[in-house]
Amino acid sequence: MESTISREAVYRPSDDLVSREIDGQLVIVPIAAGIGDLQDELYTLNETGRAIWGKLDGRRTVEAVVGELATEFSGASADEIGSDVVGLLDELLKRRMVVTV
Amino acid sequence: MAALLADVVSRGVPFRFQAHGYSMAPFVRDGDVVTISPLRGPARLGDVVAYPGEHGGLVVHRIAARHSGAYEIRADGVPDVVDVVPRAELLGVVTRVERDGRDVRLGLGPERLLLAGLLRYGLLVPIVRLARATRAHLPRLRRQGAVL
Repeated sequence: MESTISREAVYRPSDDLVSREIDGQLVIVPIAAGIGDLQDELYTLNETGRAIWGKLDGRRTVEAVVGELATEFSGASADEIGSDVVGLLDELLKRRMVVTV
Repeated sequence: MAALLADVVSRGVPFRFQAHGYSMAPFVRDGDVVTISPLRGPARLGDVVAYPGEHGGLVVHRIAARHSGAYEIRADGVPDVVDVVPRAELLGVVTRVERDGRDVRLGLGPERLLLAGLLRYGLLVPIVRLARATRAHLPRLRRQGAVL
């Protein structure tokens, strides 16, 4: 299925979640359902995911996020990074964990 | 974990997670799923409450007594463990315990007042042990009755 993510779009984390770094992992707990449910709905991001998440600040476009990460992670191509960013955004949007600005 | 709980309840929503440990047995057992809700007023005697432990961990134990501005909190299964916790440090109160997919109410209702008293005076563990020993004998007595 083709992604609907626009490279010019700007995203930020939803207000309906809580996130914390615990033991080196970024833990994200959605609270939109009226409960912070670690038992059934808890998300963690790996190193790549955390790097992407950290740049979704409501100011950077997707293109800018990809560009910065490509500079920081010179071992990966811009295409690979772009694919990772769009893939993660698709998942985050599906779960309403990010919103467009 | 304590910081994550604090973040969630500060948003006014409950926090649900799997408990680990044996200090609150038999009322909260290792593996039970516990829901902690924000405190809406002063915590009550017998409430099972959450507060920060060492190294960012979370402690979930029972209020055994109230003192001026603080609570004497003990573990049901290890009553010698005592913390005196200021009201401001409490993160929330346990409002639900789930075990094997079913709600467990024992220890959260009005009986919590009795439990607090027993806990404070070191009587809870002996009474729980006595109850277990009595229950273990009951099926045998019934079978003997059936034979007769």
